[in-house]
Amino acid sequence: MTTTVGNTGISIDSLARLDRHLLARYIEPEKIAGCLTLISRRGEIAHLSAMGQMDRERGKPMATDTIFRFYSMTKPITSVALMQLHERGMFQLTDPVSRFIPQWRDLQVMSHPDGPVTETCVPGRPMSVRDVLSHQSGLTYGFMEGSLEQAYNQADVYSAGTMRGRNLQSMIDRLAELPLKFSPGEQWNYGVSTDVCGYLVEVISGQRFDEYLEEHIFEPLGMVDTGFDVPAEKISRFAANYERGADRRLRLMDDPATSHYGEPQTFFSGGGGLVSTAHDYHRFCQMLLNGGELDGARLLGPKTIELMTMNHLPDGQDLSERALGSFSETANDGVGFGLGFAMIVDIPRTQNVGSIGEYYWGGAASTIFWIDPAEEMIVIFLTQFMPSGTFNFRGQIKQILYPGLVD
Amino acid sequence: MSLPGRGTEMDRAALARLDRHLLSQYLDAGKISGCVSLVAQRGEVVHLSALGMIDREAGRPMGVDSIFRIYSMSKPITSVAMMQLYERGLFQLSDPVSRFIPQWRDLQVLAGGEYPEYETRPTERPMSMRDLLSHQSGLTYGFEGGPLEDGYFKHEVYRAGTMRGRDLQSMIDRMAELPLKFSPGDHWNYGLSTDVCGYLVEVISGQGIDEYLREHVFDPLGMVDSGFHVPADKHQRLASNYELDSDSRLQATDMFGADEFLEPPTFLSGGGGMVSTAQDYWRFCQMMLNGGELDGVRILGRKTVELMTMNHLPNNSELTSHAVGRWVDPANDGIGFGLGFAVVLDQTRTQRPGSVGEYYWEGSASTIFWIDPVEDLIVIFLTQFMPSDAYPFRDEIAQIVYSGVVDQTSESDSDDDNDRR
Repeated sequence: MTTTVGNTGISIDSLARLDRHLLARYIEPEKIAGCLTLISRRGEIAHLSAMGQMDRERGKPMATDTIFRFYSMTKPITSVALMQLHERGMFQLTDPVSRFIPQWRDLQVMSHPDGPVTETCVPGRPMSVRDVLSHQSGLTYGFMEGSLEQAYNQADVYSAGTMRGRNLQSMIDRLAELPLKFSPGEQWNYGVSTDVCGYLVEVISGQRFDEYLEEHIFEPLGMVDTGFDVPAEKISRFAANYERGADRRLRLMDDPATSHYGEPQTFFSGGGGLVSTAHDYHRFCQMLLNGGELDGARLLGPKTIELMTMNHLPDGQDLSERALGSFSETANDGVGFGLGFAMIVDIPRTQNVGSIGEYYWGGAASTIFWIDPAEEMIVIFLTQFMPSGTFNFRGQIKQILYPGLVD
Repeated sequence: MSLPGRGTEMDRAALARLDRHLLSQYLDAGKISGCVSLVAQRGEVVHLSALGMIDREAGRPMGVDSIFRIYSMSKPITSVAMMQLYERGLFQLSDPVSRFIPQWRDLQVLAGGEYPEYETRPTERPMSMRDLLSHQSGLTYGFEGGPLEDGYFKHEVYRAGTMRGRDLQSMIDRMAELPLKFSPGDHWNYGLSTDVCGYLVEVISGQGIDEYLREHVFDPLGMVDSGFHVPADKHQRLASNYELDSDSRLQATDMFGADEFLEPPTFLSGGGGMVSTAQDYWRFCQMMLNGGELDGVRILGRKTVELMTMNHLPNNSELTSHAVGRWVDPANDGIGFGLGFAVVLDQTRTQRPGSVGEYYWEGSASTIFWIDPVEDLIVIFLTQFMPSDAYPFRDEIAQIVYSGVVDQTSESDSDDDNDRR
């Protein structure tokens, strides 16, 4: 008989094969410095495996409590924060965002998404709160290609790592001067929408965004190592961040000792600003999988999580039909998008094993997670390597792990 | 041999009716020489019946352990072998096939002309591993009519009965010199795709497909009589193969050579080269129905079996809208295709009793099987008669077998749910 880990129904062989694959394909050839994998099923941790190094320059091995830059894996947390306020009746998903950001009342839209920024017209309808939760707002990111993206850079709307001294209000003010890429609801496009969600949490709750998260999410869930900076006493647990040099070898991008994460932040990026650990993020995911509650702390109601993890793209379409740009943290075929998460809507179109209703996202340093309600499973894979599209960790981990689900 | 009874809820009268039907309509009428049918429900064989003759000329009766040419029923087995390698992370379904067959990097699509003077154009996208597993590759068979099929025949890509001395590599090499029927993914077309899968199993695993299957599928599942040939000590158990003569009378056929399956072949056809028995093939089917495991031996993961038995045609389309050629046939209404199996999508379109999610295939000597996950049912019908579309065995057997599925499965479903907690 197949030997499984505890009551998780995951075969030990498949987990060993996963570790061997990551070691042989990524760690030993030095494609990444190190990684940490956490897999749980039915509320029980089946696999927690630290491999390689968290800081090659100092020869420090990866540890299970290593702190990682989570970048866009911040977005699901920010989305949960905004939906907590939704549960308190403070706004409707259909509300125009200008209810809370009056200077956005007359936002214009580019006449053509690839045309000049100066040619604009009136949008077909106002931007709604759902639009910013589901990336259908018409906002974009400056690091992507296009004339509007260039204008974002010229106006210095947002650029990770350079925001010292700035605050969320300054981003909102600069966005008020720029057109949208498309009329709200007409397309899906990755962008600063979730940073706007963080700003909305501030406006609606009256609390600074970092303080809101601490009080309403991190504290109740016991996410003790999650925040917008790494305090001095934890810097020794902070991983280095790497990229691939021109010689295709690993190159240090961000040294933990000199990282801007070592300083208190002023710009609380709900779209990409958090650092966290495998354990902390697992607690967040387990709360979602449990229907909004963990160890007696309730953060959301189950119906709200159902709503967040449904496909909110029009007519049940997938991202391949709706997405405008080529960049995001997901492949597009067979994938829909909800309020803060992508989800699988069509397995054959994804060309991989998996479950309908799996929801997930990833971060720019190649961190990934997914939650599979049908299999009661959570997978978190953390490394620190940019950019995130370089290796297909999600596809390969799914391919090796899912055959191991034997009951 | 198990008998109906313990724990199963199949009406014995229906199973008796099935035998009577086959006897009166086919055997007594001299339409086929003999057959073996097997029905299993909830993991138990509830019907195993051998009727007629294994060899009419010699007057030897069919046995429940008779060995049959299963031809295209080899395809699901080869597809399972591929997906075992997939589970080891050795390829992605979206990988271009040229990752493993470099000389196929510049395959072209037929645009006109006749062999050997074809006009061609580039493909819209490269052929992927999924294209091969789901017959969307643009490859074809040489025995179907058409300009490309004519080229396959004349270029001797593959010709049943003439492959002695040839190997899989020679097929791959000749295919590299011919265009595809369509750009990969544009259509569904029956062809040599699964033979290419067999070749890929060899390239990726480093083993011959016969050795690979022996070690990873047949031995673990106890499929003791399955393989690419019948060893000498079992020759008496190989059923004779028949066709109709010009007077519509049965005659033994050796259209693929008198020694077909009696000697070890040099060309190991993953698309059609295997022999098996009802008992062996049932063990293969039961493994699939169990989610990849049988008697404690795991062949595939449950999620992989799920993936293989989903419809992989674009936009959940049916064969009748996505296929080309003779596969655009009302018999394929309501049918999709996965990785190695056809899948029932819509019963009001198949116009046959059964279940949505049933998966199946067949062989060119009129062998059929299906697996019904909803009713926890497996049906295998083996005979040796060519061609395979002469008689409506699948429809008739489904009509009679499903008339015997008389209980409600809700009680056992809730037991399963409790087990999963």
